[in-house]
Amino acid sequence: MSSLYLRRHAIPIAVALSGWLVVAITAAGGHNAVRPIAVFAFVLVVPGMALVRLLPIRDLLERAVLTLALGMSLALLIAEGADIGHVLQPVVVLAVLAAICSAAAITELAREARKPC
Amino acid sequence: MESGLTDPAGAGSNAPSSELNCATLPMERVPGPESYGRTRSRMPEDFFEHITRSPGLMSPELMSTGLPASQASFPPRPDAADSARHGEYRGGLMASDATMPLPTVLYPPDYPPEDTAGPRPRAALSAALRTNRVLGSALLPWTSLLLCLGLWIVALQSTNVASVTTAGLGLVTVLPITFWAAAVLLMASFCWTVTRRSSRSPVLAAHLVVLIAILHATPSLIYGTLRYSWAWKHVGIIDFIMHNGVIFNLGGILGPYQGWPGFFSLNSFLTSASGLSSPLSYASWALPFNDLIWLGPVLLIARAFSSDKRLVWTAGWIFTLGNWIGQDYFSPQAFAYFLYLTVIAICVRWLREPLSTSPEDLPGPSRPNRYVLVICLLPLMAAIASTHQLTPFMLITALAVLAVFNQLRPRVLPPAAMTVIWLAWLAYGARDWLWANYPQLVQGLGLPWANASAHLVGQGAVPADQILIDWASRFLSLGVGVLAIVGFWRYLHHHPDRRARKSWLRIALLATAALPALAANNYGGEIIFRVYLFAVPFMAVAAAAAFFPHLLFGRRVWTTLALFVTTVLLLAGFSMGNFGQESVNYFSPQEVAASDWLYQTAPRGAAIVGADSNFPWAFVHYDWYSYTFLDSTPGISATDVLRDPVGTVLSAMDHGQATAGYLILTRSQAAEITTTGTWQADTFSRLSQAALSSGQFRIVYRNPETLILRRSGTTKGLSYGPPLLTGKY
Repeated sequence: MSSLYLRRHAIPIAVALSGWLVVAITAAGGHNAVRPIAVFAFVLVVPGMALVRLLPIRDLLERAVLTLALGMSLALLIAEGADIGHVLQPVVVLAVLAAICSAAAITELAREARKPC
Repeated sequence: MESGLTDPAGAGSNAPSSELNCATLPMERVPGPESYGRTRSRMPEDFFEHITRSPGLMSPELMSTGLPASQASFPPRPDAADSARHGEYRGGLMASDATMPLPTVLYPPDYPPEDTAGPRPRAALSAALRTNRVLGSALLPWTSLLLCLGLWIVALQSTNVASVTTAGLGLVTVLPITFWAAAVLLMASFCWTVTRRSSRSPVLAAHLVVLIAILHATPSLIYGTLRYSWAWKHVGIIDFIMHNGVIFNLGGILGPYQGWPGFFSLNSFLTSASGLSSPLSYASWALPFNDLIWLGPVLLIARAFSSDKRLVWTAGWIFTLGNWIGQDYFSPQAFAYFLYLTVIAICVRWLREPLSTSPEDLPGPSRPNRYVLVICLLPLMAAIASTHQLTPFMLITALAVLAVFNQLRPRVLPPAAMTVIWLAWLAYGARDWLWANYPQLVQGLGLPWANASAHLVGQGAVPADQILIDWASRFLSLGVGVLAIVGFWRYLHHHPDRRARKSWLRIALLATAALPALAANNYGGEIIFRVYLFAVPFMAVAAAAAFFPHLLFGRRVWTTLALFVTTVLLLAGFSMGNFGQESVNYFSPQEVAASDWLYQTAPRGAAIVGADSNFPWAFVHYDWYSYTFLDSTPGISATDVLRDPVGTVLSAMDHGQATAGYLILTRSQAAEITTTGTWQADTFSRLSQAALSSGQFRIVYRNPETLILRRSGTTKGLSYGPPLLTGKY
């Protein structure tokens, strides 16, 4: 990948990778100030943003509201499913969210690649 | 796809899309000559003469070019302060507003022509003065905001939080004058800023953020403990789910929470993933967080009806001040309410019919893209259905009302999808609880008046302070309602476009959509408050239209003054309604320490009895203990407690399996009983005195605000562990 490609697609690439980074931080365990900030920031922002970026919505406030609502709803549904199934491992929920983010980011990159130059 | 959902108002316009709204284009557009007929009758006679005769205003040349305003050649725009001095119409139109597709510029007739002869000393001086004035007026709101923040910080540092426990009007009495000075200054600054033409969204957004901080972060900052006893209980449910997962058929006191576990699952995941021991670390900040995130969809809803930013931001302002109910704490309903508002915002903005068929009215989203949006809403609907009992019902009624009145595209799919998801969840997750509580659910069916007045209970004498608070809250709710009616009427009266008026009807439909809930259930005596909660966003939008019904109106200083007086009155009502009962809602560090001790000490299987549930309870090991609250347990009346206090407590502890019996009596319990008038004035003190003198109990914990008694003779299972609450608690 060229540096130009990385610069042009920095956000979807960051979206795709951030989830796995948070999974790694959580799996490593331990109590530090970074972990809660990373988890909350990821859950509240990244999954929703990954999906909203696929929608042709341009309004900043609308994107922000949908980002938050979609991200929290997805996290809620996955966490709820895990709790109903008695899979009480937060890393599993984070991994599913990270996979969704990665899939959405790959979709966005593929869509960009199909666009004529 | 791209063309379908891209903000239609943004097409062909250079203005930021956040300022635009396709829904309102035809409403806010100045009528062209061909459409003067209807509007003209409502305007001063000289108004159209002025438009059509003044050079450079709405000349036929410009009209025929069809150029957007930004590309047309216009004389420089007059200073905002200058134009504000002119009348409603003269300074009314915003030529540079990108929502005005026609090149319409209205300058005052006496506006001096631009000097093209080159700079002269007098002109240069005038320009410099004008620049300074513009700069000063732009900086003034920010300066006042900084002043507000400074006053607020001083107020926070000088507040004596200990006196909250004895203050009759809660924080209203306790907060120092600097707090109220900051609040009133903020009201004045907002009213002045929002009515200025040159004000931009960032400064108005900053005002709202500061308002939310002042109103909703103040308790979090000065208390240091979690507000509201229910929030403590929710922390306990999260603790249970963290360790046990969701068990639908658990029943008992945890039953309803297991039936709708969404919010608790989300927080148990966030807590455990973050490595925190308890959500207490962040639960206190739920109030400002929830109020902030609610604001986003409310502003979007307002923008679905008008691109006039004065109306939009004023709607957010009135919503924040009018929402005194106190459902913004750490709770499932607060979370579900955000999702509800988001679904409604998307529906009113995108899932609607185009407002006009004229070429200037840009089309709404195409049919397939609407379906994509509905698919995006499905996770939100599923989250609502599995999070809260009442919110799905409110969302279904709101969507159904829009569908019935033909204000939704696709018409059937959104309400049908929500209904199917809701029923599916009831059948899957909530079935056990519904089956066990069926009689209770249908108890209030078809009794709207009884349900609405179910909160009016109390046998004792309610203090005068509480009566004052009660009436202030009622007047606040009534005031928002009256403003909404006035605004609704003014908007209809001043908008000539039939489709705009038809679109505006949606605000009335949504504001009244929650009313059927009154006939369904009393919801623990809270249904009247919940109906208000679900109506207030739409009432706030309509109320804002009372001041700014149209771009042409609300430019006079009287509007600013009226808005200021109104917001100060709303602030007074909000303060009384939301801050007035803080002697009940606030828990001192001593009370928290006592509860911490209780849950650290009480053995599993112990029976915990309290005068009421208003203390930090059940925040850990929720399923270990049985709880009996003397004020609300069926079969225990206030008369029983008054006649035989010790016997009543002992019978509450005697359920055969209890390993120990604890009676907890706290200052906050007494405050709630006093303020609600549940018991007669001396019942609480008689209960504690009788328990102490009976010989049936021994004191195991005591501090100035809490007394914990243990039933004598129950010693098994006594254990001590490390403190449960860490950090600031």
